[in-house]
Amino acid sequence: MKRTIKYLASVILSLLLIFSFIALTCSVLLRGRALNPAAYHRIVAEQHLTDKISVRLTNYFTQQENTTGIPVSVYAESLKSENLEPVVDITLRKLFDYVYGVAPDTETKPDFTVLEGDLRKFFEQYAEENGIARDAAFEDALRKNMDAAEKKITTECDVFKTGSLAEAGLLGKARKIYPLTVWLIPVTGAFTLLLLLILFLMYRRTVDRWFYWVASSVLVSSILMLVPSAWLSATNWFDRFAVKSEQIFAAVTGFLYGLTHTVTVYAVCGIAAAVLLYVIAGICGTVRHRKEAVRNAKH
Amino acid sequence: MAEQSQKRSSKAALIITPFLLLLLAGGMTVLGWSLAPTHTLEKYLNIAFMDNLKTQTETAGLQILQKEIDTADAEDTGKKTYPEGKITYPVFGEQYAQLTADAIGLNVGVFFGSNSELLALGACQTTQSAVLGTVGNVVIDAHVNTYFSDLTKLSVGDKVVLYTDYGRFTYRVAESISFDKTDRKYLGVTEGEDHLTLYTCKPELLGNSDVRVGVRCDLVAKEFYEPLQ
Repeated sequence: MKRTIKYLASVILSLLLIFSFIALTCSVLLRGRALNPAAYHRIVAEQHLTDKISVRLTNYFTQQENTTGIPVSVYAESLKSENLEPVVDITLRKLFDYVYGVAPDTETKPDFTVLEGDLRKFFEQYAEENGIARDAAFEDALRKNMDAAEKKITTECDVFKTGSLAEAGLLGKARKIYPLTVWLIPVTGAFTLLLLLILFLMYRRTVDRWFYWVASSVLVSSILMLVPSAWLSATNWFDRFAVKSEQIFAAVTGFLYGLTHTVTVYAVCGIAAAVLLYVIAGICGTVRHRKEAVRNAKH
Repeated sequence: MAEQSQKRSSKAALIITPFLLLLLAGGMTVLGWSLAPTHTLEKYLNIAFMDNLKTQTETAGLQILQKEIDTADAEDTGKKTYPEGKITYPVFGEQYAQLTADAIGLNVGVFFGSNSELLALGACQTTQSAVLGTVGNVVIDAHVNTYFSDLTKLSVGDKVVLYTDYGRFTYRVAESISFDKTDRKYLGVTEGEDHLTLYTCKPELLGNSDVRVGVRCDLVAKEFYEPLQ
């Protein structure tokens, strides 16, 4: 009876430990990747997003030439990959400043000095060649075109759709929840350690059994994480992402696949750790049985 | 004996326990997901990841079909024409008509559907407007810097002719029009009335315009090459 009760208690503690391990892993991923701007900057570099944005914007302004009469060469300097990087950086920085509670909104004001200078130069040259007065109407037309171009560039550089997330209220929710996430790792870590300690106290005289239960918990939690992450990767499920704008698609799916890959790696390491713990349990168990056998023989 | 039986059941428990834990934990996860209020999350996930074209072998894409359309007049060719006839409905991206206006020397292909790629190739008819030969408002636009640069030079009474593979449709300019880009007045359906609306951006100093200019034409004649059966 006592053994049965002990076994049931161990099963319950193991189940709690399984979910505690999963919660701890999710907390580490949330703080280390989802809420860490460095992870997003890495995606921008790995996916060559600024190159994609540059090509897309160049095509856009080339097509617009028929409507606006402004040749794409006017925008050439501003659309270079290295000049788009600061715009992408500032939208990311503003996103996290808002979520961290540092900034009141997600509005960005990138530096478009080069673009405005090139547009002004073209307009003034055009006006001089065609005898057009540089009056209020001229300045108004110039300003309108600057604003339209800046808005287009900023929108295309907003690879994680900050604007849409803000409109949907999701960024507001993230901003509210963020202060609580600071406690995630300490709380889940402490809970995990508590469960390990309780299990240890139950099996302090038979440490091999403690290793066994911990190994089983680690194994099951790893399998529970591995199955969905492996399935998502194998089926390329994130390719179903509805936004087909190349750089946004690459940014979002790149981030999600990266996250999934990390979960898969953690799970595989967890399985390896479980195997090691089983081996240790086996060794400790063998040593304990031999000691018991020797003690019994003496008596 | 009892000790051996206990040892055997202990070993069995050691082997079965991880599977038992996996079953219990997996079951609890599935139960928790089904009971939890995840409707909003599922809704967002379905919207965000709705494109299942990637899981199919074929994907949709724009097919641009340019072709030669005969613009010889029926009188010149001796071809018999009919006031009512068969219509070959076009698909998006297909060049299905040739637009001519002798008063301004206009002769441009008309594509069914409108996007930046098609506007680079010719004039475009919006898919919501009436197909040539049916009753309603046929709406065609093009870039002011290219094909419709002289559109506003059309005067009331000028002839505009559209040729297709299934017939010829003649209109006369009834009025010059000007409207804001958000105004749908000239671009909407005209119940029971046959019109042709041609428009383009109002030329600005440089850059995009918020004003659209063009002409509204009335139908003069429909000449189908094949009768209705």
